[in-house]
Amino acid sequence: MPGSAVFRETSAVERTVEVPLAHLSVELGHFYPEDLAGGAGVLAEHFRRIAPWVDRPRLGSLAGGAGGAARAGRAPRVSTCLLVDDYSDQGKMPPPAAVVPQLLAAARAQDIVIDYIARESACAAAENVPLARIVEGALVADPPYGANGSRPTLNETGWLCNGARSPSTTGTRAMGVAEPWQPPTENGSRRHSVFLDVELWSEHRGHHAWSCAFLAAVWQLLRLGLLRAGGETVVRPVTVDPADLPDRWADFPSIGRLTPAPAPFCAYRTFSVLDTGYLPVEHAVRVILGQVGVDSAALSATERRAGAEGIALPPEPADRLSYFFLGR
Amino acid sequence: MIIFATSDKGGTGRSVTSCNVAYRRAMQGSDVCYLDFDFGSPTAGAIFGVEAAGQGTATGGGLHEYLAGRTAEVDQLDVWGQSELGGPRARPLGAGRLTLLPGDSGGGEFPVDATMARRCSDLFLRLDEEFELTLVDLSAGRSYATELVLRATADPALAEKTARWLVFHRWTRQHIVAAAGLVFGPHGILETGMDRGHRRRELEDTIRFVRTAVLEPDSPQLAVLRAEQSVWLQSYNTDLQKLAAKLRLGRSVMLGSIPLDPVLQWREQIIVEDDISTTRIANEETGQAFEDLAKRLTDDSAWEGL
Amino acid sequence: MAAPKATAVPRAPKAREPAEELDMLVGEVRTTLLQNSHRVGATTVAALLDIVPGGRVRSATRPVAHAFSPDVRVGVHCPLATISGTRADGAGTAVARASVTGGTVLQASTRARLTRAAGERRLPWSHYVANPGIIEVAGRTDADDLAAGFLTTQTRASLDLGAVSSRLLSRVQRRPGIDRVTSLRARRTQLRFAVTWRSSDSAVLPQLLGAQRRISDFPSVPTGSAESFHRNSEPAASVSPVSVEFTIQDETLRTLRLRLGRCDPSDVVAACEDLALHDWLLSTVESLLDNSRIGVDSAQEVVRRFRPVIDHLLHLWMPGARVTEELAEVWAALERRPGFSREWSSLVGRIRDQLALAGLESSSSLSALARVAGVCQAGAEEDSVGA
Repeated sequence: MPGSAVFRETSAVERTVEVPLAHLSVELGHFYPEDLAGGAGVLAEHFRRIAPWVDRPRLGSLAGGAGGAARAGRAPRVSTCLLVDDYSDQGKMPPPAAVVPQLLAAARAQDIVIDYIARESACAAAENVPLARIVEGALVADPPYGANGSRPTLNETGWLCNGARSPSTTGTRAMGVAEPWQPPTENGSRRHSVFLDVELWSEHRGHHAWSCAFLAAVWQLLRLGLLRAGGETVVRPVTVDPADLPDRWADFPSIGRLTPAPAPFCAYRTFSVLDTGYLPVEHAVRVILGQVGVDSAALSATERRAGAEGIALPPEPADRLSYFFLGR
Repeated sequence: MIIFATSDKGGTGRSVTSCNVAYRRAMQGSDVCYLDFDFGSPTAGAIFGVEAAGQGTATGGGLHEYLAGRTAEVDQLDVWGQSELGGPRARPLGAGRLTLLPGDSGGGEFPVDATMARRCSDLFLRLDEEFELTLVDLSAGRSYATELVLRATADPALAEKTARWLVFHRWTRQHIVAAAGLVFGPHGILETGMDRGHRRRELEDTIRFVRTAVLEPDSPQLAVLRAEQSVWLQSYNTDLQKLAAKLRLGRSVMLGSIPLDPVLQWREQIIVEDDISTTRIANEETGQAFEDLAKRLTDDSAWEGL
Repeated sequence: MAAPKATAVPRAPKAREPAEELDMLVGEVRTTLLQNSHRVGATTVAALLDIVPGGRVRSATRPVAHAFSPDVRVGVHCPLATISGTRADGAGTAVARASVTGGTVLQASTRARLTRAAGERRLPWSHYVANPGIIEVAGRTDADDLAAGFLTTQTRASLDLGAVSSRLLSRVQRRPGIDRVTSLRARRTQLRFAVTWRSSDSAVLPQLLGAQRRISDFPSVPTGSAESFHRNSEPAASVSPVSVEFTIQDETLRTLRLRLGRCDPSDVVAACEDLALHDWLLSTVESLLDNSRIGVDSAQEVVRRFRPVIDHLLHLWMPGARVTEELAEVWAALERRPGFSREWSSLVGRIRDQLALAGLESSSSLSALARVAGVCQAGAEEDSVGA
């Protein structure tokens, strides 16, 4: 266009950075203080049981099916990680210097490599970035029919559900018509509902505590490379020297890298090998993920880059999760 | 500025006086909105002569529905355009806006919760963007409406907003005692207000009393009284003044006194200039009392701390 | 896995024939005065608009300070208004943002693209959440039907983007950082807009032109008092890139129907926000002048009443300042009729007359007059649009 001038102020332009992506992020477990208090035997048993399910050929099939990487004869990029719960019972978790070598040894005995170890408290807030708050702020509650924008949908009670709650019978006006009880309903259900109401956080004596389910949802979004703060990445793994471990989890990186050149922490898809006890938590994770409005640029970048690698990635984050649940 | 109108007992003429004050104030050039928080009996529309909302609105967009969260916006009825008050359905020259936010027809009292208080403070903040005066007519007595606005005005977001209270009572022993009880008594405005986060002293400074249906002993209306009646009236009036002073309802906290006017006893209506000068169904003193009260709402010298 | 069926949701009527493509933009801007005793600085504005954790407030300083919040998403699933009465349901998300101009005027706009739903059933919510700002429409209706319905026949049950904007305004007005002391009273105004796209290679073009004639024959104006300004940038016979229909529905509601060549929806929203801002300036200043008792009270008293306009609003008049080249034509059309800048000049002229009178009444305030008149002069000179 002749004579047209371009004037731009950088503070007026939107930008979202991209993050390195593996094909698959494999979660080898989620460890509570009591899991680690059981000693080497418990850990050895855990890794012995999961070993057959996390061997490389199996993982390749999860990474993107008969995708481009397989066709090109290259091994898919797979990274492994696990989560240590230093959040719910702060102080009870033995120090990194005790825990990390135990975990590494137990895995090594089964030929399993641990690339990354993350702290659960980092899912609440990492390096001054309030991750949980960001995800909470991005929730777009699933609206029941009739939600036309005139009423706020997200309630401030700290709960999120997958449908419509049983209507409250309080708040009806004096001498108004009494309304009979009605059941809750699941949005988009087939005839019958599986209604789930998830507690996102609780407030106890002024202390705001995020629920395990909510932090697990943040954890999945982190692994999918879909979280941003002000357009910037929130995943910055830091190399950890197993020979020089800190005495406090607070001094351990949010995400510690334990192998020299692993595949990226974030991946197109995630796969979690968990105790069956986590089934309700992960159901909640899916309910939450189905209602998180993730950064559009980050989301479309994953689809675009997977497509360029010949991988068809489902558009919805919740569909990118796979699980293996182990009974006791 | 937000003005709350309340009374302990029904039949004080609270609503009709409030409507008249809103009308006068708009005629004086202010933009005024009138909120019908008389939830059990939303009849402000009838007083203003707005037929569409005589007993509350039927559109589902009244204050009941708004506070319950069932509608996002409250109907705003232009009183000038929907009544004959300002002449043929038009705003009189030099007058401000006069807007009615009606209750819902068939509406009743309802318990108050935190989200409702939040909606209420949102509404006050929003109306204050455009109206100089927000006049809220509350249900009589210790009502949910009063509880609601005490909670709403305790919201820190309203800290900079001026809120004032008018407590209406008739000039009788029972009414004086009842009005004092509503303000100073157990579970009264001050006690409840403190419980909801107000400071007692500050809240008390925002409360004034309005006497209604008053027969002044020197009124020309009483010229027909027999001497005995006149003497008794004088002495009883003095007793009532003593009682009022004792119960902290004395002259220093009285913002206005509305004389007894037959037309208001029979028909709750807005007294317009024509009623006084042309048809002469209403007394000039009544009109003047409304006019003065309307001015004093924002006259800071009448609201200085005592 | 088949898409689960929606329970308790009335089914949209079945389409008997394949529905045509649908892609349009609808939205509503609400404009009001930021509740603060004085102009708010850039840092405070940034804090006010920081309403999405992890989001980023964007700002520009020229030609006038302007900042807007990150997008807030709102889920909806409800009927959509149509002018024909045809049943249509929408499911998806709308996006809203708040903005502050000149540290003084607060706006909130909510927008959504309407597209055709792939099937009758409502999909799992995760599908809609992954497509922000898109509402999928089920029902046999077309863009013109939806546009006219959205602009003029909304009901309490139908999609209400204005309510989302209004709530966002209230949310910003109660944030810390502003004192909520009003310098002048101004009404909130609403600008509802509906946009469809024209492209010369599009098969739907003839229908669009036909529909436009229909609307011209039966003006989409329900009340007798509404003023409508309908402008084609070129004679309708040729393939015109832009048609603009701006209607003043009542004291606070305006509707804007645009038919545009392909362009970025976010640019269209910015243009609508800009138009809403200037319409609000006009309405606010005009109503203040109307109520300032000119000719009744002394000019000094009158000037005292509209002093806040001079202090806070006059310099904000910069029509089209944030409008892209492709959309400049929209502004140009509105400048021809109703002639926004002409009206503004006339208002500024009235203010200047009162200032001159006030000066005559009190020669002692001459210096003040000169200062304020200078402000007005500058305002008037900025009237020209980038024509």
